[in-house]
Amino acid sequence: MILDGVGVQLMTMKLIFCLALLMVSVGCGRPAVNSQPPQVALVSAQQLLSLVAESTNSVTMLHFWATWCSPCVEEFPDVMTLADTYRQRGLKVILVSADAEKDLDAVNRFLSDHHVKEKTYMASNLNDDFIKTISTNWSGGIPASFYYTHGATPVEWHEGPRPFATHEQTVLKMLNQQHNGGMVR
Amino acid sequence: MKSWKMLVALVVMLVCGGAMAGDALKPGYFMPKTDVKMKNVDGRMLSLSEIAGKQGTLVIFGCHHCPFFKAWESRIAKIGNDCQKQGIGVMLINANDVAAIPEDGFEFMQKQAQAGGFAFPYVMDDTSDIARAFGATRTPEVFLFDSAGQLAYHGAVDDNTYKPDQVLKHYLQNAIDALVAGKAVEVKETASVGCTIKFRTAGETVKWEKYSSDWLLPLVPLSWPPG
Repeated sequence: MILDGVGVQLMTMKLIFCLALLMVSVGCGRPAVNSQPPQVALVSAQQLLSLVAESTNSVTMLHFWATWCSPCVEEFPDVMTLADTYRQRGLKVILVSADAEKDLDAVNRFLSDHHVKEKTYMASNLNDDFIKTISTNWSGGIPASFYYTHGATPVEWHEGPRPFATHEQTVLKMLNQQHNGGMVR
Repeated sequence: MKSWKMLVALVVMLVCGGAMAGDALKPGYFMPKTDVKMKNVDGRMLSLSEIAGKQGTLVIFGCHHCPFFKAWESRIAKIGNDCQKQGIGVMLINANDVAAIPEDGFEFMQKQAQAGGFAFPYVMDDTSDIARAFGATRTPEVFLFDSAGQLAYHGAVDDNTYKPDQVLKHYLQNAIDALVAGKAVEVKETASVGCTIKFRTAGETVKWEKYSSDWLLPLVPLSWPPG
């Protein structure tokens, strides 16, 4: 094994990463005494696309759902498993609720019940403009998932629930393409 | 030979019926199923051709239970009532399968029409075939036809479901104003935000449609209000 400058840097980074991981896992080990539900931020479609474009992850997935949408609720645990399984390989899942602002409590309750720890979002006004800004092909139906690599144009998208394996297939394909293309981050 | 031709026609109809089920009428298309009688909340049997106005016709797919429809209901009632004064015929149609959603039953519609002050007919599409023919998928979803019965506008009422005071684009009202003024409608199509229409499995229905209506579009609440 040849350790050039980059190699050493990588090793150092890996060490820091492992340490960070250790710290996080120690933190998780403690029972949460007062677990606050994650913050839900109201966003416009443009703000979401900016989030996607600015994401440093290999693959970013926008996932639209709502507490009142039964297929979304059924699919939700699979989306969480997907996010957890591939987070370290570079997947970022951005959850966007299509609930009404007045139902924020229900959304928070749901997220808390599903142990969502990351910041999530809520469409500030899901209308024709919002839908078409995300994709001109999307009818606005949920659940809907949009998968991005670079920029704010989805590589793939899907309206309706998907089995875990199908989500995984898409994400893996995109992750592999990224890595084969020398885009390891 | 004759039966062979009929079989081909039947297959073509079935395939096209399936393919078209998800596609709504396009601008310029003629109003379909105009002679089908539907039961109005006042007990009368009414068809679209009977209610069509001289200036145009507004067809709204709606229902009782849907929170999106409820959010828009007073705006829809006002526009509908105003339309009738301007010579535009109005019909509100509930195409939901009552077996799937009992709160969309006829008695609920009657109470809703009275409480909402609907001066226009509110009928039940008891086969869901009218909604199917229009390619309607949501509640609310509006179709505005001109005096010739051709589609002038299709989609949402406006651009804000829950905050009427923050509406920026009054799609339907703008289309109505243009129609009455004899001008071209600028925005002819928008995405309808709402609950899915719960189609009945009958007549023209194909099997996949029942499945797709379960997930395709913004969906009927699991429980409403939440919690």
